[in-house]
Amino acid sequence: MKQCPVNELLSYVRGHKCLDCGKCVFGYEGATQILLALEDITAKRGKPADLEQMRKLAQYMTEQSLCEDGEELGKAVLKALDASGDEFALHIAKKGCTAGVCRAFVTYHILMDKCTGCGDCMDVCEEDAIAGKKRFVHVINQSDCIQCGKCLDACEEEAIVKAGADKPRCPPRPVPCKRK
Amino acid sequence: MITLTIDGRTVEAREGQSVLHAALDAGIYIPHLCDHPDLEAKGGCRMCSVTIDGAEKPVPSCATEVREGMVVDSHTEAAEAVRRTSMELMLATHPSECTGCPKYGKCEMQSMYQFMGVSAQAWRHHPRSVPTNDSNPLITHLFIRCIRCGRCIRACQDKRGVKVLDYVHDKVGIHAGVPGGKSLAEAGCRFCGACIEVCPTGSIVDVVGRMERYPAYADNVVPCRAECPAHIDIPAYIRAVREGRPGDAVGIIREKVPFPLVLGYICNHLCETGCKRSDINAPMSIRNLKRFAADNDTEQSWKEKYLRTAPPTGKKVAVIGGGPCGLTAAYYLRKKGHDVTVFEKRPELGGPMTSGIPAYRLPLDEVRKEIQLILDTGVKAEVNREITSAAELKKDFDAVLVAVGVSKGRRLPLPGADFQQVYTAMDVLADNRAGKDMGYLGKSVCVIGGGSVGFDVARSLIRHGMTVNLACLEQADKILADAEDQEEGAEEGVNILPGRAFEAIEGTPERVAGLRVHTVLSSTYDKATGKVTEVAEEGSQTVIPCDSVVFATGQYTGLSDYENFGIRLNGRGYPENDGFKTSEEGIFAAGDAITGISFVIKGIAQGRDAASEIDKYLGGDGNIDETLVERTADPYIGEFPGFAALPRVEQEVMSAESRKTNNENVYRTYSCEEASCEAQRCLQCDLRLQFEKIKLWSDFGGVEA
Repeated sequence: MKQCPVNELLSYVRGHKCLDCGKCVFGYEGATQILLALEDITAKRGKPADLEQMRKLAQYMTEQSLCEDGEELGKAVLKALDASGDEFALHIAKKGCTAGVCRAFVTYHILMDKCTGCGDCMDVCEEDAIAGKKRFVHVINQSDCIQCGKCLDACEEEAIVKAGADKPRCPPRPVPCKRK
Repeated sequence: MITLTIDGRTVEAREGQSVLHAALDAGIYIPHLCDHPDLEAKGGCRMCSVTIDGAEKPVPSCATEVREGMVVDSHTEAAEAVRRTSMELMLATHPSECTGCPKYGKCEMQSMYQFMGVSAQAWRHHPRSVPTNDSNPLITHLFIRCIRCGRCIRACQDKRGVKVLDYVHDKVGIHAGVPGGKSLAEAGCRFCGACIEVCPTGSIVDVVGRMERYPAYADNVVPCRAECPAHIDIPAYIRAVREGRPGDAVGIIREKVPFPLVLGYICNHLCETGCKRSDINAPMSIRNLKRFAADNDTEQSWKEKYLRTAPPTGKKVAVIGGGPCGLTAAYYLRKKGHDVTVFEKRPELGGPMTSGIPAYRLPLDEVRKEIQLILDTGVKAEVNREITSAAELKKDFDAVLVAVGVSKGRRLPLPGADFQQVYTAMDVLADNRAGKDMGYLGKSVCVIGGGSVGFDVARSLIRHGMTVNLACLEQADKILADAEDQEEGAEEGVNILPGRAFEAIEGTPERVAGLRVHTVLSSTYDKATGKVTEVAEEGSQTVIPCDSVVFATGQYTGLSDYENFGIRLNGRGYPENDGFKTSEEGIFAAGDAITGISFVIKGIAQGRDAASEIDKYLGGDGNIDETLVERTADPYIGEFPGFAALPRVEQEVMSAESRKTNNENVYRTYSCEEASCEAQRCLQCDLRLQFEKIKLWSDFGGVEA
């Protein structure tokens, strides 16, 4: 499975010692602000200014924390921003998560050439977000879908896929199945 | 000394001093938040960031030692940026509304961010909503406002050694607090208030209303001292007792009052009503500790200084009345170098201390010792000298103090009140104190009045084997005498009859037969008119048989009985006065003679204040304050599990049976062990005042952001 650097950094910050300490402002409040920013970015709520602000804050953390823990955290943030700045920018611009990890960016799609029109996915969808009928390719209505993933598990034909930034081509409404 | 440059100014600093404090001492303001002058610097907040010798990276000035020739700049762009960012980050998780905070207007953080003109707008606002905890006595926790500066923790851990507060991690984050969800009492808190004193925000505060009782901050912090009419330094003498220095304790008490022994026995201890420990379990037994100190003061180390007087001023002062007020005034006036003579109408000095308060409450020897010390300073006394005109006396003196007290007993206007066998408490108590044969009262006595004087009479007569009924108008729960008096009096056999109205004294002028009363269900006293309205119980009229009746229904000065005392008296016979000054130049009045009947400590306090006034009148500075004992107070009070639960130690009381048959003091003074047990319960509220007051930017002249 592919890794998303934004999500990876989020997990790292979440588990960092600085959030368990509180003895210095740049370590604790710095980690808190980084965490809040990353949570927003991975949830499609990032702001254009976040990238620059995180970079500046991380720099302060490396210089003004009370111990090496805060310094380490600041460096980790800087390193991630340097290595994967584009991916962060992609998230912030709300274009998507390349790795398909950040749930807010993930979409579910039913592949036209694999769907047999069996109706199993429609049966498990609690949101009634899937349109279709027997032997017609089913289609997920993206505005109703809550990315719960139940359809993915229900489909025996492996016709349903998750997508990050690159979306597969799917029909806008049910069309007769190619596969029998 | 080390010389360095801070913000362009040459500054002298002590070796080992931090750059921050070198700057503050020199009047240069550098913002700072987690630093406190009395606590070890940590450098966690970075508010005090400065640039040193042009280095790129700013450093916290609180945690940087001064060095010879160092060049410090607190205004570089880099230092200012760190400072601003730090403040913004703190504000981002702090409640945004200041107006609802108990520290509003006194908050260091509020003052600082307003000074810096920063806001947290650029950051994600994320308050950590810790619920307010007002379940502890004396201290309220509002950790939603905690900025984790750690001052309270350092104060509790390092300065006090109590080790109750620490960083606490709960589901919303980190804040100062008591680990393990314990209450302060459970955790071993000693309620010294250090945490409150050092908190820069409104996170740890005194409970609501605690700091609004007196105008002065120090009085709110140390209410026992504020409540004492003479403002004795109570925490200091309790400390001396605890540390095994009863002599020093007495010295500290004597700085304010010349009667520690007397007060140790009979003071009405207003201090104890102020004691903050009341909110935890029970107040300190302050009076009994005073008695212990006075009873165990063998070395009298204060004596030399206590007896020292200023060079003679050549001024002569007459004090009329040798009671607590008059003797106190005489002592302090003598200390100021004046030639003082006390005129006492009775055969012995002391007023109620020697002629009223019975021996079972106050042993005569103790009083005499204290009076002798006053005379040892050179105060002259003329006993058996009744002064009938203050104005006449003034001719021979530069100043006269009227401190005659209220020595005349009042009778209620009842039919029969002038019978031969009807007396006032004043006369009976004086005879009792003088050791006279009390047989003239007969076998059975009715005492009218339920104040402490009434109980003094009743309990004294019980000791003469008499049957005593004490009747008063007040209902049982409203009796004026304190609870101890009522309880012990009843134990000794005083028959207390509350809620009675008095109709007449039955019998003939030569022979009292009884006191006719009826029961009242309720009564109200109208202060304005002095009238009492009562609801009587129907058919409750009865006669209490007795051989004599004693009125303990109030006292008056007796000044209006003289043909012309020489000063203007008001309608109730009290001298007209304004700040102790009477209508006549150079004649002053103080004590019960102007306040009406009160307690000994009140009279002493009046005597002090009057002495100061008279000294000023005679050309002195009026300053009667003196330090007899140098104070030392260790701020490291240490851990003490179970401190909050320590019970108040009561004095051992003699059994009611043996009390009835002798005149000895009812209570046994504390043993050394009991005294130190009781003394160690003290919260030492005064330690809190040792902390240096933090200066805000507005305390520095001409500071600009």
